[in-house]
Amino acid sequence: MNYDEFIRFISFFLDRIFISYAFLLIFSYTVLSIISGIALNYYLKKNSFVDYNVILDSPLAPSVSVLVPAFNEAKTIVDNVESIYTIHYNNFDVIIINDGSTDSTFEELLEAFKLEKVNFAVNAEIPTKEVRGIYKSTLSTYSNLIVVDKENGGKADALNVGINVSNKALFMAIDADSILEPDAVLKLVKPFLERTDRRVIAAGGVVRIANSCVVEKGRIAEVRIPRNILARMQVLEYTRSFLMGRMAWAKLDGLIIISGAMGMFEREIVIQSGGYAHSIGEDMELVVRIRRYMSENREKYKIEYVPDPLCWTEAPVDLKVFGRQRSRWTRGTIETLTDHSKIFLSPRYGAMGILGYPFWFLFEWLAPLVEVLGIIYMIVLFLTDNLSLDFVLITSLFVYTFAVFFSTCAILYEELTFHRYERKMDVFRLWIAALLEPFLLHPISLFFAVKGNVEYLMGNRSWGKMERKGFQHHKNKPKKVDSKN
Amino acid sequence: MLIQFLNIILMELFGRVSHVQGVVFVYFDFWKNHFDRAQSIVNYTFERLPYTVLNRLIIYMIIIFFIALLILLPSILFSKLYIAYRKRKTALLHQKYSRIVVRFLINDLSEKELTDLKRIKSKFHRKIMTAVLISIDTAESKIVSKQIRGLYLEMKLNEDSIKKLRRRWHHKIVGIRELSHMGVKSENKYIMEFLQRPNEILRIETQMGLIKLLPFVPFAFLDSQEKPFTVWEQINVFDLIRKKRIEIPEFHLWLDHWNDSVVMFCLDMIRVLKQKEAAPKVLELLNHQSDLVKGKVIKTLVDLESKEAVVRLKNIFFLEELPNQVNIIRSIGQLRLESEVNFLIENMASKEFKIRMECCKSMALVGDTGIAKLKTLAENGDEELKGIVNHVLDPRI
Repeated sequence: MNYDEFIRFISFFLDRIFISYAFLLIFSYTVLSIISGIALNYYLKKNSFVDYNVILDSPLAPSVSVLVPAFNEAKTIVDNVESIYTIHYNNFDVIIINDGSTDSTFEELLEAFKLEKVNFAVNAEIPTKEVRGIYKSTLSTYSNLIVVDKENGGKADALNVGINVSNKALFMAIDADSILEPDAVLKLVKPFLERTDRRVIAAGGVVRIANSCVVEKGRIAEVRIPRNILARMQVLEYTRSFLMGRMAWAKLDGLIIISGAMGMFEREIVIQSGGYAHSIGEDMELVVRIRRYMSENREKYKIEYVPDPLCWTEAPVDLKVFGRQRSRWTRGTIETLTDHSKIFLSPRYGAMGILGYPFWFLFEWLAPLVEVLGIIYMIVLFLTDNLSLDFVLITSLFVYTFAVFFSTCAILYEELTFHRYERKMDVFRLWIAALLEPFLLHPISLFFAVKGNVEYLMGNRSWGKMERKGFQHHKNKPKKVDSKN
Repeated sequence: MLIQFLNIILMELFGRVSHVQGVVFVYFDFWKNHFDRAQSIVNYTFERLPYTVLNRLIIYMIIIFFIALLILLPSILFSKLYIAYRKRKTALLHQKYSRIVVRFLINDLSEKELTDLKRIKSKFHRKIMTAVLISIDTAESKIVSKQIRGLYLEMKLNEDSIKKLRRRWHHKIVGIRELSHMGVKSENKYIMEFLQRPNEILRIETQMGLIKLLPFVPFAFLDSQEKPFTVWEQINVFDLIRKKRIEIPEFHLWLDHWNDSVVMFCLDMIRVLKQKEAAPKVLELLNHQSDLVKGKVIKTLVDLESKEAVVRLKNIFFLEELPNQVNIIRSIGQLRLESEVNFLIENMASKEFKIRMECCKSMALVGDTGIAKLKTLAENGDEELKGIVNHVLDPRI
């Protein structure tokens, strides 16, 4: 076998591997989007008959703790706590956990809510870093506000302290910078009330991007498309992921992630399975672990997903911050998948083992690596004069048209379901972003995903500094979230 | 071939109107040119690339995605415009019919207007009319309700509602809502069949509908409740009881139901509605096999302030799981039973934080004696107990 024959022999196999992978990926996404469409249609019809207000004054409604871990959030923490108090729910308390902030986060809270140290006895069911003190507001409006001041131990540790302090049946973990929809708790509680023979152990909702939206008194007053192109492309990404991906996974009972920005859990199950792990992808890790716990104890359970937009968050517009976030997501995914490799293709874990885990392994962890390998392979073929440029062109066009088609479907889903972007031009703007995304956002995401893999191999387990522009809440005059974006 | 065929048809259709024909031909020529050009690009691509199944497949998929995109984009824009139009039209019609119904109620409608109203044929208009009638009929006045019901029947809107019962589940729900609101009982038997459907929304609406349609036996559906009676269903039913002044039954009648979820609902109702006469029947359930039911029994007995139950509860204390033990201890505090202080002190030695906390809380609730004892115990107790006592005695928590 000479050199040319050898190259042809190798490329024969590699061609087929790459093409099969691409087809499998496209097929999976297509199937997921069809399932999502069906599930969304059912949800919307079902929801049109629901009156959430019946939960509000019902003595049968469960109690909920809203847990908010805060680390160096001095600029926004007071506004954010006030924003939490706009939610519609009766039986709830708010637990802010100051995770050893080095700025004036705690002092801001102390001052704004007139906090007073109380003799709170904590049942440390989950081991955590030391709690310095527990404070309660002396203001009657915030009588259900608890502030915990603790040693720095990371987000997971802060949440674990919150779980220990809470005595409610359910807890909702949210990010300090999240803006909740007023009916977020009502909508997330409902799946727990619909429990039949299968215990509902967690529920997640849709997180949307708030950049350029008008915020008034802690609420989203007007939804707008971000002016910043990076943020705008992330709107598309989030829509695809939350409306087309997670909705389908919930339907298939294979959902293995609930966004850290907002999720509701049954407290007892989380405690029994050991609480949040000190991991960089603590949100995904917790879902996988509680699912494992239930499967291993042979208990019937389900994880529900609410496709309504319930929470708004600020997307990074700075490349550095964006890169840190993406690298962290990649490392978190790898860490969770490697820690729970036992469930891979194991029927014992149901749809999570057979479908959810393999999908995340193949198309979330490996996809960027396969893509980079594919590019390297093409370069090698080009250098060895074995590359058909026509073939490269049509495969690239194929991938591009699919990417744009898939994003357009996401825009259609959004328009047919919640149509939160009311201005006619918004659809065009989103579609232009869909056309540009494969050239702009995708290569950047790909780079940081590969970087995340490398960093994971190098042993980097740090969270990374997340700088936020912060929301501009104006009590009288509505303002945009980020005037520069 | 196709173009020629279309040409012939168009000639036949528009033969006499030459300018229309011309416009149509220009239009078809325009698209034919584009189609030919696209076909030549595809042919050129096929010629350049080696003839393999894969290459063909990729090109066809590109074409499919491209065409799909061309269809999707206008669809998105059209749906946006259509949704806005539909919303506007609905609001306008709602306003129009609301005015007419109000005029009908004050007898301000002429014979002709009334006849025209009864002749409305459009499904959309009739749908809005039904919605208007239901939305206006919120007043407590029986006379107004009777008039509205009369108009609903005269317009034969009940026939539309009955037709909805034969359609898909979401139409069925609308039908049930309309018929139950207007008190049309002719379809009760058919509606009852929906109680055993797997669709939980349909089930809930059927239950609510039957509560309204069967005023003398509103909870008859509980007898045949086979599916789990979810808390969501219970919340909806309870809300209806409160808002519609429905005759409340004696819920202890269902305490021996084979469906645990029905028993739990009845226990909740007995507790919330303070049906104290049910206490002896509730006490009998203390030996129930389900821990969840037992938990509710304990909670109910406490809320019914059944002091005699405490002796029974104490007897089963050590046989119970932690949540029920906590509830038993809580009952002593809620009933302020000073005689049980020793029982509480005994259990303060427990290794379980939750039991110790609940014992201390109950001691504090008993009154001054309990508080004094707590303080003494804290002085000699371990660090955890001291912390718990401080927590319990802190009025700010």
